[in-house]
Amino acid sequence: MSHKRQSQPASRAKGRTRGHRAEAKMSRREFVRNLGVAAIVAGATAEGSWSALRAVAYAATSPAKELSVALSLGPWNGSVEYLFKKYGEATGTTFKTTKAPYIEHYRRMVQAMQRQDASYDFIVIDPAMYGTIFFKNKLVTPIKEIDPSWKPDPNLIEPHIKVGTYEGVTYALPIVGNTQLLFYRSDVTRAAGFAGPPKTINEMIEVNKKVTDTERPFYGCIVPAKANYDIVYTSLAYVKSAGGDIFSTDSGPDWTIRFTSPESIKGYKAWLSLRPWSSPDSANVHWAELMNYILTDRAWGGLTVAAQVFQIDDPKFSKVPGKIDVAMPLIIDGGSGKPAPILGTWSMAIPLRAPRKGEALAFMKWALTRENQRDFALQGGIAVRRDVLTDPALTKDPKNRWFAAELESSALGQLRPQMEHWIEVQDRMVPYLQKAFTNEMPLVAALNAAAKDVQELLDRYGYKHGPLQLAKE
Amino acid sequence: MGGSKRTGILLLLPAAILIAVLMLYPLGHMVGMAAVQNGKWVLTRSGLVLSRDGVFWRALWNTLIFVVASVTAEMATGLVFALLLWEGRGRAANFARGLILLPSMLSPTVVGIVWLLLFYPFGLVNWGTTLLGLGRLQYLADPRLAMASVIFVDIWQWTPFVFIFVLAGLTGMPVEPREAALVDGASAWQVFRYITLPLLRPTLAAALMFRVIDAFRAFDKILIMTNGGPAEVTTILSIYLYKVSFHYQNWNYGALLALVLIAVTLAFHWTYNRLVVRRLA
Amino acid sequence: MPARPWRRSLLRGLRRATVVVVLLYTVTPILWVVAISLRDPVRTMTIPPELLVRPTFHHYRDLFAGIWGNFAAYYVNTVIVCGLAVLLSLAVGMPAAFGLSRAMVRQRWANVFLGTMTVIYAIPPISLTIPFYDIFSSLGLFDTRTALVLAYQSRVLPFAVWMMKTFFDEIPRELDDAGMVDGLSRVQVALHVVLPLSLPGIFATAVFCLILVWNDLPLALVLTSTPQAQTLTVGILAFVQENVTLWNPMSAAAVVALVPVIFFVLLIQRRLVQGFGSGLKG
Repeated sequence: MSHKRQSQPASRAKGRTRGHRAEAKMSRREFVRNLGVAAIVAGATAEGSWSALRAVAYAATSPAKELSVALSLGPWNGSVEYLFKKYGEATGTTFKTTKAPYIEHYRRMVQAMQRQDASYDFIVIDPAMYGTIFFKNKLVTPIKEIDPSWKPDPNLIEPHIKVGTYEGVTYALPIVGNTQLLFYRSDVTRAAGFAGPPKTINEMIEVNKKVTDTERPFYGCIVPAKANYDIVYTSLAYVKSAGGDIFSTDSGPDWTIRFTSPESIKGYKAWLSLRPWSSPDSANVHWAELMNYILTDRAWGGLTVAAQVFQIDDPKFSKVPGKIDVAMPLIIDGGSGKPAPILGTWSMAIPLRAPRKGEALAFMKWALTRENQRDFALQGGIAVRRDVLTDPALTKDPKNRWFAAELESSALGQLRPQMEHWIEVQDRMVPYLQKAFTNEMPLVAALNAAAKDVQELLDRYGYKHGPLQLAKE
Repeated sequence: MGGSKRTGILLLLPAAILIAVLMLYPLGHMVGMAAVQNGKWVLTRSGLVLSRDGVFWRALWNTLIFVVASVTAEMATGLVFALLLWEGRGRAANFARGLILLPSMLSPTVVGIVWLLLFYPFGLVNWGTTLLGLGRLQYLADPRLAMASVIFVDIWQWTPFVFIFVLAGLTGMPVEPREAALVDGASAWQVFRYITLPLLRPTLAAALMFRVIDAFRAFDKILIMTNGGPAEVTTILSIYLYKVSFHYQNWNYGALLALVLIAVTLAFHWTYNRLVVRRLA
Repeated sequence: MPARPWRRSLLRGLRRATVVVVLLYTVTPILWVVAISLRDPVRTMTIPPELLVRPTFHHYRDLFAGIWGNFAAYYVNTVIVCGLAVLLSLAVGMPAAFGLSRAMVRQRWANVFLGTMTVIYAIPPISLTIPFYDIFSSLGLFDTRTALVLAYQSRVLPFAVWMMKTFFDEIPRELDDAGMVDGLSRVQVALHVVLPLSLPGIFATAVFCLILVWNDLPLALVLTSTPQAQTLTVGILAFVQENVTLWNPMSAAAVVALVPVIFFVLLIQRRLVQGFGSGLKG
């Protein structure tokens, strides 16, 4: 190595010492590379510090009246953000909203709440699907803790409040009154000689037989069965109407599996009995495709959620404006005698470490007053107040013909099991329900297999339950 | 040679630093998450759960089918497309080659959505098949067809990837051996089999490696098209991993699944490489 | 034995027909995306499919009016992030690839290096999202473009190194030796002999690195939350909602996202096929 050191002086002499020239070149290359690395590091630090500075500046200068809220993406956001704007005009409060697609929003909220994040003043969540994770672990603040005198306005439809309540404590207040509704073609029903929409499964089958024409094609009641949680959600309406359920209780402590009980089996059978008149691709039909069939005049109807209602009269979406109506989910003959629409409410919850809890609650209460819910409804939002859904000034508009059904559905709204692992339980059930749907497995065998899987899950996570009772053929 | 070794290390250094800082930490983090939860050693328990996890084994099986079928087909079609199109000169040929690349450039979300629409029972694909008298099929709703349909879409999307590899390989190949062989009277097939193909081996091997690894990770478009259904026939490991982590929030088990997926990927790649690519020469 | 003339033209015709079929198979779905971007939902999934519909451009107008989010920002972010990520991976990966190709490090280290690269590349991006989120948040880099440029290295760096090594490998070592005999240093050999010959390969690498990151979703989704750093893929995902998929504005966004990549690829593609200027010397 010593000979290299001798030729160290970086002279541009044209010596034949290859090593020397390589050294000089190398140091220049090294220099350039180091410069590049330095530039990148500088850029990163700059952007990082800029970001940090921005955050500090925001914290220091953000108007005392600003609320930070996290939303999931959905068609109701327009009306919700309208409320933000209106509140801003009334009180000078600005809203900083961050939005994300459903799963990403859910993941962020769960992880943020678990880390006791303080960046949000309130968050909008789907309490039926994952609310229990927050409620059970007290990751969000009970409403009464912020305002001990709070009581739900009697005009607020009670089930919407119940879905945000866990073990008697209310943690989340409703903002979007999403619930299950049967969308159907009223004109086709009348033309087929029926006075009104079918109320029971048997009536539905009658209508199906009359209106379905596989040649045109025009299908009857579409049964969505894509590998999504909605296959559980849709069939649950029938199961509950038949007097069955997934577990013995909605929020424990007894988690005995009940979806293999005779009542539940009756409900599932009824659900399957609608298959022949549904579209051929039903095993991959999700709500969006279901509505598309109805909107393009290719199906009579189907059970989906109120949030779809914005499409029915809009000529950009619908070939049959004015002809679609809504009704209650179907009643199972010989069951409870009542429809059992399952709630899909979106609610507002206040994180444990939210910086401005009082202000957040003030907004929430404001949003739920009659006047503001009315404006919300006028903007296309789904109201959660009885007096708004029955307001004659609103209901006389044919655009709002779905209000009555929405009210009835909400009033009868059913909860889904309030357990932290509900999403995983549904995922265990979905493939078996699909197998039953595509005739790969007989229904009872499928449900029994699902029950065994779910039981294993309950044991793994430590849920208490009674013995598993499998259904008999 | 001492200087060369030192410059060698210097050449590798920036990449090595970037990797060490950025990626070894996440890898270590994953291993940590799979092994320890809340300070407790959970690896053995998770391992037991894994061995009894029916969904995992089904997903593994589905993944192997998916990877073998799609990668094999992609390599073949990519090679064929490149052979068809590499010699053309002129704007038309350039344009054609550019068009072939389009599927790989679409966002996977969009690929999922557009094929969902095309596979709709009354969509374009069935429109075409009814015109040809083949009737209507339920590509995504029929449990027997769903996997094949998903593989088909993967082939459609990633053939351009192999295409471009082979294209670069073909154009970078020395001309003399082929010309000499043709002068000596070899047929086009013989030239291909004994000269072109062996010379392409390194490029094909590289393309194969990346395709295999990427195929194990395909999940956006499958999620959109079938969400892993119907009845879990299209649930491949990456989808199951995603659901365990992002849906069930079970990050520890998810990390274990990820490690298993990586191990399977590498094992598969190594085996496939040995058995198939080495034989190509 | 030379093929008979009629046989040759039959083969040529067959070949041309195959090319047409291949192009149709490749391009039809893309044309469908464009078609959908020009119509309303009510005519998108109809029975029977409507092939010709009077086009409407309002989806594109809405897109750039910001109705579906700040697409102008998404665009800028994507171009910057992807461009920088690719450049970084080439800048860092090229010397490494050269060093590996010319066996300038001990074989064992080379194997470790390459092996690590392969393992890194095999990590599913969704598994990387959370650790990256942790790293970048603690550095204050959450929701920044820098974070994405760095995170994307997990996708492109192994790829760039492997690909470029492969292309460098194709250039025979004899050329290096010949160059060095002529008095060039190792580095000069790299820059003036090997690099120009492997240019098609380098361009191919750049193209695919770009494609790899242009459409990345998991990392962009988790590491960003505002138009400050969000990319086109995040904007496009926003169209897939719970109760409805907005196919039409999404297709418009997809077309808009596709244009720069097409541009870039067409530009580079000529380089790929040009072969090499000076040709290989004997």
